[in-house]
Amino acid sequence: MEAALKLRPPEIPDERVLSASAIAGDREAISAIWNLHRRWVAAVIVAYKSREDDLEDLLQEVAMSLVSKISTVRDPGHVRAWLRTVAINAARASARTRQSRPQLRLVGTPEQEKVEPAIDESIVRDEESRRILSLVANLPDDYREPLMLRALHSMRSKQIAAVLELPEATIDTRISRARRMLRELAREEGNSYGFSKKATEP
Amino acid sequence: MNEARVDILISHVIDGDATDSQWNELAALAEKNPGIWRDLAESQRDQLVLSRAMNAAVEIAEDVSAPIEQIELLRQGEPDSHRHMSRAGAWIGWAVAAVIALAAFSNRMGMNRTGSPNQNVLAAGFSTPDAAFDEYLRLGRESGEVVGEIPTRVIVSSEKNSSGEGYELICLRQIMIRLQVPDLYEIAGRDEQGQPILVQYQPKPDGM
Repeated sequence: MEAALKLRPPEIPDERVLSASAIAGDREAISAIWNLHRRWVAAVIVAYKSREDDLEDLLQEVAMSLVSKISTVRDPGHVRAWLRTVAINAARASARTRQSRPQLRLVGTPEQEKVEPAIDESIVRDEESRRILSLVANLPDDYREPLMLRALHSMRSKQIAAVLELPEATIDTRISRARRMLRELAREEGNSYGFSKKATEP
Repeated sequence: MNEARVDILISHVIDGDATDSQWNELAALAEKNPGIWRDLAESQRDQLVLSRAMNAAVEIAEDVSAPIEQIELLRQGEPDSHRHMSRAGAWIGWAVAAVIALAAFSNRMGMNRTGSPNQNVLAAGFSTPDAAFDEYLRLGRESGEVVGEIPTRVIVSSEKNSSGEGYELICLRQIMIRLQVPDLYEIAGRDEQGQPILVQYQPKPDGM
């Protein structure tokens, strides 16, 4: 009996309990909360950051906010949604700061700015991944973010709904519509992406 | 055909949670419109590629830890933790090390939170921490160790004074120093234990 007890894996504390401990200032709980959420926080940042901003820098900024401000969260059930807001704010603030800086322009270059997709495809290496990220960049925010979160192995509708503070049914609808939009974008691109190309070529 | 319904069914299949009746419904719809199979195949492919791309992109998050020690350093001697931290992006990264260094340096120089001199400062012959600090800068410039102080101060936190007038700020003062080192190394990655792998770094001709 004793041996069986020793073999039992360590218990994973309930997320709400963990969140409450973190809000109360428990260092280990704060670390655990960060480790639990940092991957999807990174996905949210990828969905909103400008291509010039560094993902790691923004992640560090969010981690800093988590440690220094989690005590201000009132409801442990809102930690995910709060973290998402912090991540989006960090990404947008950084982009705004960048835009407000004076830009040097080479003499003779036209004034017209080239519109770039929001997502920095250089964060991935293979061509196929870059292409899909550049397509996803063209989706509206409301559709892009849940689709990108769903692409993470661990995120199901329930978790995404908790982060976005929306009903699960809304998440499912947005993701399914996002997938249709993505298919159509790929076709507009001349079937040059992934399966579309292979399916239509002789 | 209800396009939105088809999209939902395709999504369930892709996510692996379609029930038998949803599969049957999709198959029945696809019998009338075989293009649905193509939609399903394309979306499945999209999802696979996107999933691979996203999971690779967020891998870097595993290297970012919650900076608990750094925050506690900043809060030392401040039992009231309800301070408002400002945006930290400008000094994250290498500058976190500067915070630690500056905090350690400040402690050595005998600064305290209110800026009034403590016994160590007075014992060293300086009337205030600022006087001691100015002397450090002066001697450092003379010896060449101090290049200069960056005039911009980064506000780390701000708090309204209990008197109701004015604010107390915690600021980062940044000093540029010159160091002599035998070799330079950079972190090229992490080994299986998570330890940094150092490789010798060759500065470029522009000095960076």
